[in-house]
Amino acid sequence: MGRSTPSKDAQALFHSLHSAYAATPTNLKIIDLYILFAVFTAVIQVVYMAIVGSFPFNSFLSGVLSCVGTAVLAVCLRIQVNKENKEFKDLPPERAFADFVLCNLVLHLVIMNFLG
Amino acid sequence: MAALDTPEPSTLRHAFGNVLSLFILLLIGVLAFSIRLFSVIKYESVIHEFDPYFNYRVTQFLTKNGIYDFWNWFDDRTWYPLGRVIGGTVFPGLTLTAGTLWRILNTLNIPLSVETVCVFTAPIFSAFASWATYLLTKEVKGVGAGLTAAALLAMVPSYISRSVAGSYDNEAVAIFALIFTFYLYIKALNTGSLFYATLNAIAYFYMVCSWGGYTFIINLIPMHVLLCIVTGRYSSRLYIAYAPLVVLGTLLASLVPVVGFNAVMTSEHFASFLVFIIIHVVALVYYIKGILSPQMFKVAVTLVVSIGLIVCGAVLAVLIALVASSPTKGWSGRSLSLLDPTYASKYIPIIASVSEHQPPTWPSYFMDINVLAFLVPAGIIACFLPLSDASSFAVLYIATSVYFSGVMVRLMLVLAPAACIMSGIALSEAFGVFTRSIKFQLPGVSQNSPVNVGDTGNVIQNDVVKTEKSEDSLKERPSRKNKKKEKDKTERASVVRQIEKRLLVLPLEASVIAIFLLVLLGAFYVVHCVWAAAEAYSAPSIVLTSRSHDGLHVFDDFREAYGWLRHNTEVDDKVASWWDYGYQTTAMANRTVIVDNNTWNNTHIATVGTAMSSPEKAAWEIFNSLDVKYVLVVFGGLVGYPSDDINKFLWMVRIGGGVFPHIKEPDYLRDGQYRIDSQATPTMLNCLMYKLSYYRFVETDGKGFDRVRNTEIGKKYFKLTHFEEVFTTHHWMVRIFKLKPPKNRIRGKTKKAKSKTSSKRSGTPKKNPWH
Amino acid sequence: MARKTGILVLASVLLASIASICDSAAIFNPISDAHRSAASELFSLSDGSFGSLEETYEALRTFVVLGIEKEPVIRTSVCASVAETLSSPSSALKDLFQALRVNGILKCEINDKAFAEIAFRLKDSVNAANLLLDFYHSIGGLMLIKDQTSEVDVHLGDADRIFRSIKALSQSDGRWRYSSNNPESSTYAAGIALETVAGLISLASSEIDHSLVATIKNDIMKLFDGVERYDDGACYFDEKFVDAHGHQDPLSASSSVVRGITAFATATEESLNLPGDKIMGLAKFFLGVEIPGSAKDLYHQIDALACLGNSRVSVPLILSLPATVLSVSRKDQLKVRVNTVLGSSAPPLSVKLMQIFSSGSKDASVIDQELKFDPDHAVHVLETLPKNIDVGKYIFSFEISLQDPEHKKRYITGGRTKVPIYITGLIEVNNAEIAVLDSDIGSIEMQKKLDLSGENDVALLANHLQKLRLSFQLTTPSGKAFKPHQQAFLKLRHESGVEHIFVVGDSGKKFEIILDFLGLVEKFFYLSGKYDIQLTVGDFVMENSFLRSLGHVELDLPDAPEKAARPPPQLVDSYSRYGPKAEIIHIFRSPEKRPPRELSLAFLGFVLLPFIGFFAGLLYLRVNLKNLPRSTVPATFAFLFHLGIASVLLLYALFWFKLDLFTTLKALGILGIFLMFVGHRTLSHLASVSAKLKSA
Repeated sequence: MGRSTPSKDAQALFHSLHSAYAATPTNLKIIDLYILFAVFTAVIQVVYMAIVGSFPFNSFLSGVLSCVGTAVLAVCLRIQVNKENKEFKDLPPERAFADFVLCNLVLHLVIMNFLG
Repeated sequence: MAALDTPEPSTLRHAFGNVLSLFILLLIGVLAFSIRLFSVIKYESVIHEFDPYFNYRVTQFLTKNGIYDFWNWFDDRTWYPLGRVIGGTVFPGLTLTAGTLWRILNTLNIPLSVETVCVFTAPIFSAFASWATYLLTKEVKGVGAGLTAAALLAMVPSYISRSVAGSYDNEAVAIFALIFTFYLYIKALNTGSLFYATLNAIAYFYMVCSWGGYTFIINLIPMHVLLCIVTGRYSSRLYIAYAPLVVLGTLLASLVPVVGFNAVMTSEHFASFLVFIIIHVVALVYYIKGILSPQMFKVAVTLVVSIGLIVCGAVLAVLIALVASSPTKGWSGRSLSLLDPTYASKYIPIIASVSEHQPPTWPSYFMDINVLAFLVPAGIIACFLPLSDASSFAVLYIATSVYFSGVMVRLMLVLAPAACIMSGIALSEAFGVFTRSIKFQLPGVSQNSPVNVGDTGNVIQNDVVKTEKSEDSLKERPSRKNKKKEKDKTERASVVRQIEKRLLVLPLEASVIAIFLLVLLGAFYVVHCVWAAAEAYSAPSIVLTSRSHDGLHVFDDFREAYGWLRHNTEVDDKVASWWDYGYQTTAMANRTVIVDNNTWNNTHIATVGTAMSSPEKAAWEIFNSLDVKYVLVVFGGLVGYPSDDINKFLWMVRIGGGVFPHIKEPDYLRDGQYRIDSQATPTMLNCLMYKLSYYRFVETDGKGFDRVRNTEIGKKYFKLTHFEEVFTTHHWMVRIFKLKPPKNRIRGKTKKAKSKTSSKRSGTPKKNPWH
Repeated sequence: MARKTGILVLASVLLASIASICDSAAIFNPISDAHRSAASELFSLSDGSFGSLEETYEALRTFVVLGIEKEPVIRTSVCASVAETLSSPSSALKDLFQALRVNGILKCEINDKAFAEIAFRLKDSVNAANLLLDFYHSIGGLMLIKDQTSEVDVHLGDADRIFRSIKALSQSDGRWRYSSNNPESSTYAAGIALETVAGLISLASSEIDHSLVATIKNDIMKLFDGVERYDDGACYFDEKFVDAHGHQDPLSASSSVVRGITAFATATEESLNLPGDKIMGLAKFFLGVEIPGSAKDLYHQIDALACLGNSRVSVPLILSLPATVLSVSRKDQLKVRVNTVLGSSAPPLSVKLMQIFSSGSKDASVIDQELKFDPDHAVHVLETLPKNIDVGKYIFSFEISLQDPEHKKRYITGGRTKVPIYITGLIEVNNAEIAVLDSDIGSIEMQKKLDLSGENDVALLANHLQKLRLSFQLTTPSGKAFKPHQQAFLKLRHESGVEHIFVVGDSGKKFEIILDFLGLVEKFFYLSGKYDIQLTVGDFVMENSFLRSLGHVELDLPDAPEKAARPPPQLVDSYSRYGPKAEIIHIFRSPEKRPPRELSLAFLGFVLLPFIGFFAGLLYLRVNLKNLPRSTVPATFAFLFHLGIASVLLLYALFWFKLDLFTTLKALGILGIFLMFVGHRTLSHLASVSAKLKSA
């Protein structure tokens, strides 16, 4: 009993989560996908590091940080183009996308430089 | 500007406001630049005391050999025989800035010498800094406060002390970078635009390049973020402002060679990562809260929060493990002495020996940020009136910087901008209140024309008069500005606000008097600042002046001595001196030194300290083993120059004794008291420093009276056996001694030769060399 | 190795003792074949000639004196150059002089006409000259011409004037100046001047008045007063003057003086009575040089000796010994040879052994004994050494007496000649014994007789409370107790290689050493175990010096306390000590370990997985590109936009691969501007579209 309720709640929660998420527009879903992609790449690199050790530390760092960075930037983009988000009504999604592109370019310039 | 005003009044005032503030900013820049030129006017265009000479030398190298040679420049002129990798151990920001400035000027066919550019870098950047202050304060509390703060910062003494023309040091550009980074952070926070976040990261990169104080930023901003989260002011703008900054900033910071992997290894930076994780968790929470119905959220919270807690715990464990594993708990000595003010004096005598690492005294507070000290609390209160993210940041900034400035004198520099911002806010608010009350007390006066006339007249006046006078009027300028601005506000304000404004109206006389008093206060501040800039802080400790009854004396002994070294010694001779003079010797005399002002090798410095505090023969052996040819001591006893080697001597003893235990401080103190007169201990009277300083000193006046210590020296007549005096400057401030070559130990042979010659004279025949 | 050290010690002691003798007396051997071989080495032909004419002359002169036949080899080439020099009117005075000198030896055929011209030139150069060297060259040249042909008239008219002008260059101390306007006086110049004067006298058509010649002789006397002296009787003229062509060393200076005085003496038939001992001293000096290292020195030495040897002033006779080390055991005889400096045989004379100084004591045993002359070996022999001569080092003093009285005028014997003589012999070693004693009462624990003449191998046992005693006697052939200069050494060598050397003390009649191990444990580093015993006895007069191992002694010493000194590391043999050291190996940072290749590849694959997942997700979401602008202009802009981004990424890749930061930044700036423009167009177009949609 004491165990069943949280499990039921959890199922309910996940169900509602799924339904809520299904409502999100496609472009946001694409961004989420992109974020997931970046995060997973980062995770894989971390696992690799854990196995073979972080010898060329700068390349490891740049690899992981590039993924994290892209993920973070994508999150920012997602926040900004989100229709529900009240704070950014006045900011058009194209502008947000432009910023996103700029940020990515800068980020990857740095990463290329840091890659050694 | 009256020509182009539109009939519609509010837009007219807008135009006025923008143009006027532009003008004022321009003038503030001019003021900030020109108030720092006293040193050039009173003395000459020289680089000031110690570190600037190193930066100057590095800049010369950069301009001569280009950036790539600069990155991997191994300097063999210092730290003989170790040498030093300059490219990897120096903060390149300042050097690169000046170098690019110089290159640009030359491409524009403005042939300025590198030295000139270096001399004027600091004033230029202080002007930038005041503009950055304007922007920051504008983000926090509107234009009026911004202008006031900019005006205050343009002449705050503690900043002047580091940025007069010729003091070519990291702080000169670092303060600008600091304020500008903060501005961009606030800007990104307010607008929530990714663009500003990127700029912020780049500004942070510049800061990292220019000063070790960047850790202040990378700790302050996370603190602020945490504050916002804790106080429930989380917004996605905060995320946008912070998360990219951490990622980009960390990457950029680790591009700087001197920081390198420390940006992710040392625990000065861990706070930011921790907060980075926390903010992600929080962002996730908010997102889910957003997409879920409340009652479902109740359920979700439990899970999410628990998960978040687990994640945080794990991360915390990892961080703690890392910190524990890293040496000195991952904190460098200086930052440790920030957290624990008594750390340095306990463990690292070198850090403690630098006067600017000592805790400040109250007079120094008053000296450096005079009236601002009293305005700051008001500013803090004003920040709380409506507490926004920006103003909370400002409050946090002032709080932390006050603490740090209490630990180290040199961190007054970090305090100064905060104080300026706060008092700018306070002043503008006060003026706002008073002028508003005045305005409501005088009904039916046509507001626009007198004010505008006053403004324009004021502006014209500001154009014509130059710095000295404009400072007085400068104080009124922001005030009138605020007056007008507030008027705009009030007019545009709704009736309700007008009513509730009427409630907090002060009596007319009181407010007039208050304004008058405020102006007086400002005037006093200005006077103090000008005095400080002119008298206190503009002396380039390389050329000294003293005003006596028969006019002005100029002591140019340092350059005399370095010039002598440059012209009269071999190029690869090694010169030993206390580390304060290392940079100057390498830069001005172009000779190899044993230790210099970046004190990266305690043992090496301790060796020199030991030599200075050993008796002559031992010292000779130490120096000879270091291949030293000349020893340079600075001696103020004749002209009363207080900061000479005898006064620094105890630090040499302490630092030397820290590594070589046979040097004991008590041997140099007569019952706990440092003296060089006849009461001094024999160890003191026989140590090298004493001998080199006071050699032949008694010949100047009959009794050898030391003007600094105000005593007669203990041992007056003595000879040097292992050193010989080669040069002493005009006022005896610098004395250069040469190590005598080792004696011939073949006594017997010489005697035989003598006897041989004598015998030849006496006629007994020589030995036939052919057999 | 032990043996090596022993021999080293012997040798060093020998050298030291010889040196100690030499300062009292020295032997000078006349010119010998060593000089000849040295000469043919030093004057080596470089591409068929000796270089300049001067060097040629010096070489030829040396060869002539030493009697070496070298002329045909170089005759043709040298003669060519001689003729060329003599015929050319522009050749300098010096060259003419040298050419004539060479010609004087080689006798090249030069027709008298050439001689006549040269003589003419030389004559008026004589009259014009005021520098000493000009006089020297011209007059010398004339002399040579006079020797070489008889047809040409080389007599000088007003010899007196020339004489006076030369004499004007002389100084009060007998030295001369090179020219009248520099005050520096030089001995070398004096020699040259004397030669010149001699030439002038012989060239003079009329007799030169005697007062002048007398002054010259007076100068020579003064010159000889300033002669320097070595302690072994050698005299030389020192040269203080440093002129343009460098400092003349004593050798060249004195040889030039000798040349000068001999020439002068031959020119003026009267005898300038020079002090005999000084001439002797000069001879000794030249001989003492033995074999000089440079050709010029050799020339000076040989030429001067030649002048001395066959001058008609006074020929020094040199007494030399074939062997100065005589063995009593072999009954060697003392032989003495007397020759002139050039090694040619001396006139009949008799050699007497006057005195014998024994090295230790200054007392001289006077014996006046004449040596018997052995004509077929041309040596004087002393059959039997005097009775009181035992092994050791002595100084014999001989005296040469000429039989023919008028020889006495011609030859100088230089009084008594002291010669160091070494008498060696077999030293017999007897009643040697080695014993181990108890330290307290000195009672003999065990004792072994030793026969030091042969091998013997004793085995002893001792602990740290006992003593080791070694004693033996040395007696000379004449039965006296022998006391070598170099003491006897006893060496104990531990098996671990640690060595200890002790000096065997000499107690009057016997040698004895007592090692008290109690006092030595510290010195022995508490090393117990087997010690080899070695005894070294030797001296330079001892013909049977020996270094012999006596066997070994087993020591058991107490254990070392903690703070006892460790035995020093064995010094390895001299090659590894002084030979090349091992190359220094630099220690680099060890390369970090790299992961196995397949693992990396596997992870490369893994990294691709999310990417595939990404595309899969895109397909799942049915993403389409219908949002791309239809109309051409925005489409091109959009296309350009993506192209720009792609190009920037490509640029980054290039940056990673080869470019450096600044070129990248430049390119990036350009691309950035382009990108901004295009991107702005595209995005604004999109914005307008979406706005339209919203409004609609």
